[in-house]
Amino acid sequence: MKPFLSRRQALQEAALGFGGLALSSLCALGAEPQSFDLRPKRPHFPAKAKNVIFLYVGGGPSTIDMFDPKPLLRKYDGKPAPFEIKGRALNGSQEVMASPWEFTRCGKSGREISNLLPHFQKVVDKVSFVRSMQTDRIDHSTAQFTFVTGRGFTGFPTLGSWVNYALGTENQNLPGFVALGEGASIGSRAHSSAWLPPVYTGTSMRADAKAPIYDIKRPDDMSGAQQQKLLSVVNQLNREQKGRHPLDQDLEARIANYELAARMQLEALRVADLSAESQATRDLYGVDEKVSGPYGKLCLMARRLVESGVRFVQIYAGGGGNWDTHSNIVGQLPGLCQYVDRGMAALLIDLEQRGMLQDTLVVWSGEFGRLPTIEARNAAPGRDHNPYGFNMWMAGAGVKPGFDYGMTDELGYAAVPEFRVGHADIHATIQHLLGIDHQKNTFFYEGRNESLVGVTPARVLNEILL
Amino acid sequence: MGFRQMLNAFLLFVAALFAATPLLAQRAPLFKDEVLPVLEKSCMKCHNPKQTMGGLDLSTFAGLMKGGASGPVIAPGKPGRSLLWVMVESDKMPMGGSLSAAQKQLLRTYIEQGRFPTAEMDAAQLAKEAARITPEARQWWSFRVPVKPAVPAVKNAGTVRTPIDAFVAEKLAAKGWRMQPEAERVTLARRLYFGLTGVAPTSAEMQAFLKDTSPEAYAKLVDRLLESPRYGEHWGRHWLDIAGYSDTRGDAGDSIREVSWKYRDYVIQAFHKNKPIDRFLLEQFAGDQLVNYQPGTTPRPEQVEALTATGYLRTIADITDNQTIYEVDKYFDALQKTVETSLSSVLGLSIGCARCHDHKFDPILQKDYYKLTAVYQSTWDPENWLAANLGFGPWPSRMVLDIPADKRDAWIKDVTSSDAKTIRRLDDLLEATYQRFRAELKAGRELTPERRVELRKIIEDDPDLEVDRNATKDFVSDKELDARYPEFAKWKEELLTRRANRRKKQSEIDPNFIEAAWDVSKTPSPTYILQRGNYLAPGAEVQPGLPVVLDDAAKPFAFPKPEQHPDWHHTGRRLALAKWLVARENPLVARVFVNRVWQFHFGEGLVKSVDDFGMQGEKPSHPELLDYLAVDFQENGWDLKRLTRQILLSQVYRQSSAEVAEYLAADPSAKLLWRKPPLRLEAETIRDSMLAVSGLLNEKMYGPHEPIKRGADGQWLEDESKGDPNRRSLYLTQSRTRPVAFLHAFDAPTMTADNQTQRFRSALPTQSLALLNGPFVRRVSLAFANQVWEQSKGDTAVALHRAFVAAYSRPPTARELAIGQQAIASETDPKEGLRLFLQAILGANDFLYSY
Repeated sequence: MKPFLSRRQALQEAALGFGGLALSSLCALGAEPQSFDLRPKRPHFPAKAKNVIFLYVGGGPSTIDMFDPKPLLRKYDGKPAPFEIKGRALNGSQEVMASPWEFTRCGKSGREISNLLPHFQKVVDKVSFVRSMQTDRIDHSTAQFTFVTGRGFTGFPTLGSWVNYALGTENQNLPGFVALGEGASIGSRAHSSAWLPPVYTGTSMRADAKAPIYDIKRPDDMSGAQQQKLLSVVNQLNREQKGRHPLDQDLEARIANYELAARMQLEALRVADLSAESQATRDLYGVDEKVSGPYGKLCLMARRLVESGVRFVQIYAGGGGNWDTHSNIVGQLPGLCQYVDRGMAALLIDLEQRGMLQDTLVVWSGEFGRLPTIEARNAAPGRDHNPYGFNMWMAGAGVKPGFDYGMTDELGYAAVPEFRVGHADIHATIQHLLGIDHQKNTFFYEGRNESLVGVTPARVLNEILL
Repeated sequence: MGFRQMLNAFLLFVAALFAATPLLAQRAPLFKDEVLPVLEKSCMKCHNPKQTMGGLDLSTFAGLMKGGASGPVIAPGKPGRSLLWVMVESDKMPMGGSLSAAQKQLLRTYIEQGRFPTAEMDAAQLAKEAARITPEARQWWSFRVPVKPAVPAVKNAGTVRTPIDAFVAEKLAAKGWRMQPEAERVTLARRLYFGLTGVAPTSAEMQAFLKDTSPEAYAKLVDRLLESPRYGEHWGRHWLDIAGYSDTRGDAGDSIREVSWKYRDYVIQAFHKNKPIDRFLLEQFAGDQLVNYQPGTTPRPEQVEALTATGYLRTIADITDNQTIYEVDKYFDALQKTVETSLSSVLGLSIGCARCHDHKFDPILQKDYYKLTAVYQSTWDPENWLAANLGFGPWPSRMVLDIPADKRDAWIKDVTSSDAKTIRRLDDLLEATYQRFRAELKAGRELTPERRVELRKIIEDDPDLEVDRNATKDFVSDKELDARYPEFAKWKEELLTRRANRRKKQSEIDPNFIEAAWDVSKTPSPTYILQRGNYLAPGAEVQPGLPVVLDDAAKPFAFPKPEQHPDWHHTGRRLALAKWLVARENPLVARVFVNRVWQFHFGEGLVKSVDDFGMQGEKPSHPELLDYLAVDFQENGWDLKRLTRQILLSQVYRQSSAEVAEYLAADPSAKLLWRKPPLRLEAETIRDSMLAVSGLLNEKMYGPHEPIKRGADGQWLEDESKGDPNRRSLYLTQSRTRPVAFLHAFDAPTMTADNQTQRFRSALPTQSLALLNGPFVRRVSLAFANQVWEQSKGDTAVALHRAFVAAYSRPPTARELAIGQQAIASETDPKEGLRLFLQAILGANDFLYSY
């Protein structure tokens, strides 16, 4: 997709010059350097979703213990599975472990949700489950790379970068792609733009009202008046220098960037200030609660960011510990669920109350799920990675509420083949909802037109769309 | 049987159909989807890459085809003559078990009907070759050996100083244009300092230059700066970009590469000492073979440098160290990325396109790609993989162990002893425990004594603990955790005691490690064309070779036969390839390199697509000039300083960056070289110049990477508690996931992609934020102000004068002086006002650009 404005136009509107000028050879076609910026761009076709909040649960959440009860597990509990369960060569076990938790039938859709998620139980009618996810990667890093970049290796741009590249963002005083929290084992590569221009990299933000972004906070030893003076002096010096190079548009953009930085400083600090929210809202997210507070804050901040026009927000849910429950799942999973339950439910309620859910897409997924068998090599048992079948959910903009797509087999082990959904299908679907044709959202790199989906077959999951 | 039970039984049956043995239709089974799972389950416990019992590894197709100590295990189409079938049919294998009838049938059908490399496949490849690699394809400009063109005679030759100028002036004259007059001396000198050393000149250096009014003053400065160690560092940084250098490995935790810096130092020294570039490339592609290094031995002193140079082949992000899973495609990916990155950097061709299919635009076939891969396969052999880890993992690894020969065996025994493993494990446990506790506290969870015991149990039970040794400690420090939980102190003591005991044993041995590349075997596994790039869908087998379009049609390039060289400890493949790269007949390498030198000084190459000299790339703006420089470079011993001198003494380089409205409108990026385009400085040059201007710069060269830490707001910055925060940027730890924030803001690469041959020069508001609020600029402005204040003894006019001369190499204009005076006067503490103003000077555009 080409930006709608030429480089020259882009620079003339220097107040919006929030961008990076790439060297022309990075986009070898075209004689003039192409401009890369974050200004809003028209989608390929009318969009259902304007923004995305991606609740990314790295580590492999045990979706069969959370969303996908399998009664048959009880029958085989402690016994060998009736068909072969492939695990990793190291710790293959055939012994079934029933979910240690009760499930409750919830909402109009009557879906059973684990009692580990009491808040989510109340909002389950708003979401659409994809119950037949499958990935071809069995270890964390390659599966995470696959889920965010479409390739099982390091070095490719992430979903949020591609979305920003295609659509830009609405608020030029904030980054267009924000990453909140910690917990992807691949680190900042989970929101990197790799070889897309750096302007599309996800910016790490924190739910810290004082310092939500690097360098956003005025240093302690500088007063507000001093900062104003600094800005003014830089501006005067830059104007002097500009007088010596009157036709240089890069300089104009750089002068404007100082103004922009000052506005960003105000805007980012404003968005990160959760005390501006009503007590009712803060309680909804449980921001003052001990366990649910940290994640609740991230979710609330995500809503504030989207409300302020940020295109894509990605939240990592690893800060509370380790979803990689190889051992002692009984001891660990309740705490992990408690960590995310309230925040993610509140997010859906809050977005809906504000009329934002209709154009905000909320996506919840891990890189894979966990096996229905026991991983018994440890004293306290857990479950091993399951890339063959797991659940994810989406809600909001253009997604059918209360709908289920696909299924795993009766043990919750493998996706039933005709319903298999892969990462590329999810990438196509998310882009489709944003009005992006996943085959047309391409960037010329190393001699070819690259896209998020690449050569992996991908289809839009029309079944779950309104 | 009740209804529910019946339903369950039925569903179970359905599920079993989907999940278990696939139904066999009358077709050949697929290796990946059907055969491999059977082998994985029943055979790979013994026949895997790490434990090749009977010499057999069944984790890949190549392994299956290669067979084991008793020869091949598959005879295509003939189960009765296939050892694999004979063994499983008779239940001799798998040991202590047997395959089900369905599994046996599957293997039999596979041997009978499966897809194996055949003579027909070879024929098909040859047919494609004939169709794609036509005489016309060989005529593409960059595939023809360059010929040194005659220097054009230019009328009106006023601005022509050197042959370079003649080529440029000729093109300009065709449009009726001319080059600009020489830039002012101060501008020119700054341009040289930034361009050659990457550091702004000091006031004294500038004074010395301005004093020398002889006609040779400029040339003398060029010579002096080329001899400066700063030049080696600055050009070295550019080559490190091209090589894809990083100080972290790019694995899950992005672990630190302990000795990567030795390669970095090799590069800096090579440029500083002006190593001929052909030799430089030979060493990097094949240093081990050049000195006939015998793997597993202590290198002789004269072998060390060449081995260090092969660090060039060890730069790509490497996720192959997680050995718990048989994901052989990771090995293939690492092999292929190494081939692609190392070769596209010197050949200027997007050969990666041919990984999965014939190149769509360039006459590069998929077969060509795999022929090149075969050259590297003796080093990066997916069947015989060397771990990246040093000490912490399996041994041998891809480190050369430089240790006195008599201590070698003792050292290896020591690091691989069970004691050492236990200690590594203890080490991991302690670190993981800290991290886990930190995470729990951060999540607001109570850490009761019971919970703490439970958490530790969980960690101890985890056999493949992933420990991120660089994880942030911003929430609560190790020390605080020690204080809060007494058991930590106990655990730590236990560990430290055991470590101390071990240290005593080992203290006299401190080996020198080199992360190098070498051939793990003289008989590497075969290379197949991988259909769609999938290692499980191999096609025809290929031998090492050159891309056909670059090869001599009459007399194809012959790679050596190692069996004819019993004294070699290697296959000689990479060395042969490297010699071809730097041969006079190679049409690409000198052009590509010379173009990178041009790009380094002008911001853009004569071929703007510096990595793509193929049909999708841009054609050279001055083809004759490019060829002139390339041939001249080859004829004169690949002498980089000589080439650089040629470029810098030209009028093209010395002309001013004046904005000529008419030219600017027609040719905004000065493709025709009608002016020297202004350049925003690279991240490192900005940081290093700030350090220099403020008197903080520590010019110490070489050595281990300087540590970094997480600052208060989460950003990564220099760790002054563990190292020197004021060294040049290329000595700071360069991490793929934890980039130093200030450098990152100004587009320093993180090597998230494989390499980065061109810097972005973006203008982003985050840069303004770094210049307004960032801890680095604050620190520097304070030092700058202290220095200037002291020198000027409190006289603000003198102070301002000194500051401008230091930062911009010129006195302030009257208006600038007034702006400064006003800023200082408005603060009650004039020194504070000066600091504020100096921060503004460093953050203004004048400081960020080279004109």
